[in-house]
Amino acid sequence: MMQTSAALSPFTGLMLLIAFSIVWVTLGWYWGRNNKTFDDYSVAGRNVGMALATATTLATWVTSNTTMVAPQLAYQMGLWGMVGYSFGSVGLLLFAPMAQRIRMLMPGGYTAGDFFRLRYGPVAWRVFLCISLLYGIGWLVSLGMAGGILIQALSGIPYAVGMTVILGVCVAYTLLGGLRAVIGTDFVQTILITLGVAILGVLAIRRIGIEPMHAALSAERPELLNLLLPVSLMFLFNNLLFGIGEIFHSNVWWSRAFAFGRGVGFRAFLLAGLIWAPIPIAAGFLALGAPVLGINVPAPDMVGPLVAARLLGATGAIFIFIVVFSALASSLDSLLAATSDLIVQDGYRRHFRPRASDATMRYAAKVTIVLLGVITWLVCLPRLTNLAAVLHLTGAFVASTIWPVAAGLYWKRVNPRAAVWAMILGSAAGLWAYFGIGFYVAALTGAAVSMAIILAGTLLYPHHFDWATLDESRDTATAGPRTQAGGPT
Amino acid sequence: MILPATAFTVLVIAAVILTAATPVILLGLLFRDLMKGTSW
Amino acid sequence: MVSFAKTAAYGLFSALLSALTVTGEPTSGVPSAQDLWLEPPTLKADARTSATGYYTLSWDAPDTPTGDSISAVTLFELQVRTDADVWRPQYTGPDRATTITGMPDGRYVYRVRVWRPPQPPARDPAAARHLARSSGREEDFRAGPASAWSIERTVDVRHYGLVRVVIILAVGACVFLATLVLVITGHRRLQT
Repeated sequence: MMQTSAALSPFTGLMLLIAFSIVWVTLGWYWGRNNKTFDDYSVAGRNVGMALATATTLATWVTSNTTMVAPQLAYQMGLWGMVGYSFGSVGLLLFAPMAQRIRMLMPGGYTAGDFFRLRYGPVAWRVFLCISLLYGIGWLVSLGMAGGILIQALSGIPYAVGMTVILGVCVAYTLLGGLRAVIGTDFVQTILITLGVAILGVLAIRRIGIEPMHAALSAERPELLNLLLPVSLMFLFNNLLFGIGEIFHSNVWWSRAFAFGRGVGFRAFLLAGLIWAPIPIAAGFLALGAPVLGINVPAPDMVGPLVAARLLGATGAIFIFIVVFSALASSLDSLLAATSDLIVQDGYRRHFRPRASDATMRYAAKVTIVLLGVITWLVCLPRLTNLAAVLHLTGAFVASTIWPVAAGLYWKRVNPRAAVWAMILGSAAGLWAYFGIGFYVAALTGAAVSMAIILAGTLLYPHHFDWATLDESRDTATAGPRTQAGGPT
Repeated sequence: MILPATAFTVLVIAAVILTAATPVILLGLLFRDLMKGTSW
Repeated sequence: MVSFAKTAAYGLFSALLSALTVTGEPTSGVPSAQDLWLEPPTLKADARTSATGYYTLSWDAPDTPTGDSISAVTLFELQVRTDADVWRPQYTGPDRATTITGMPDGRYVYRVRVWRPPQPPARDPAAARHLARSSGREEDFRAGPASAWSIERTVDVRHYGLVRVVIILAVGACVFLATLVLVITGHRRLQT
């Protein structure tokens, strides 16, 4: 459709790709070489310190969306689109006390699935697994696609090649080093991302000037500065609840709650949430420079790279390349690790091989990572363009898990059946709202219906749950793979 | 209700400064963790 | 604007060219490649009404007679008109789409036309590319012929109503605050 030429030559792009690929895989191998047990591989020894914990939380939540969609939202929905995106940090902030609670209740736990199984029983557990896998694979595919598209836009390297390299590299170092490799590379990637965004921001301010930006917007696109722009206001809480749902339910964050050292979880999530908040604004406001620079934006998701390329030419393109590659890799690796954990722990072990040994589990984890990579690659290959719409749909599903998770952690009386119906009906209501009303209410509806059901169920038919049930390490019959494992409950 | 230029300027500059502070904070934390031996 | 003499000379040259080419199109019913060259582009909008204030316009024009899509050989001019009957420039350049955002309520009418380079289109791709590189400036294009204006496309911007916004904001705020209270009170209770 549009015909603006790529800012980088394919050769430069390829060199960057290869250079970083070598760096990540080498680091992954290096940090993973001390992995001995399944615990090392899947929860990094349960002792990660503050710096690495904060960085990995930050890096994983900074996805390519943060750097690419934030500008797009700023360009389409103006101020509240951009600032509203920042509210995604609330999910991290709220998860801080929950991470502490999780660690306290389940010292030997591995996955979010463990929680659902023990707290609510097998039906709720399986409903949750379906939602979680749907979201996980959806996210993986969106990241793979974003990688291919961006590399192509920046350097002309064909979509299939860029996508394959990114997926291949992330699978490789996650495979080699497990969660330790993920967390280690996340730290490096976080530094690159925040430095890159900050430098681009400073350059934008100096070369464009904020006042001229504001003036051009007032003249040409006044609604972008309107604090009462209807669409952005409606999207505000939907986006917020989508983010909360993503964080509360996903094993990506639960595995970190299990991996961080004692007392680190609370502070790391809190700090990461606070640090994350300004990033969408720093990345997003670049898009608002397009009118004053006279840049034409053929498709809204191109606005970020277009402005950066104009500001810095080839250097800007290299910056964006590094920032986005890092953002993609730091989220892809976490997703691969956490989703594979979920499949191996809750799928493989609990359903098929309850007495699996430590070595078997590690082997299964590796196989699953490769399989996930292959499945993702296959779905990415045809380059379905309405994937963004599908991802928005998952908002209905994940938001329906907010109350089952949060209430389940703090209230004894939450009825397990209510949890099941909350997730099923919440998802259904959210889906209906998505098609019947609009994309801006899917997550909101899912969360609201789910909350209502949990509240009603808990008030009318209270349960009584013993928190000790969640601590499997006390009961050697059902503990982790280092002892004789029990069967599924 | 259009956001005035001054408020817009403050918002943007604050966001960029805070983002720039992140590498400093993280490297500082890492240094402390390494000294205490609690990084992993 | 292009003078009549120039257009006539150009037309004569093109006619000669097509008469001399082995691959010239038959004249019965099917428009020749030269005719397509100056056809007005087709303008499309991705929405007839926008409740968000943003929408995307796209347009296309027939490619060079050699079949190559060399966008640098064309320059598009997009104009917009609001209620007052004055056409203002919206975009001029080689791209074939634009996303318009942040528009207040109102009716916006768009039209687009294509400017072709002053020289007639070359038959072989290498010459056409050389042509594109050497005469890629807007002034050069404006010296050449322009197509007629496309069919107008109208976009009505009518932002979402206040009632809907307030309801959704209220529901969202309720659910969020309830969640906040749940986590904070739960956490506090355990600290004691």
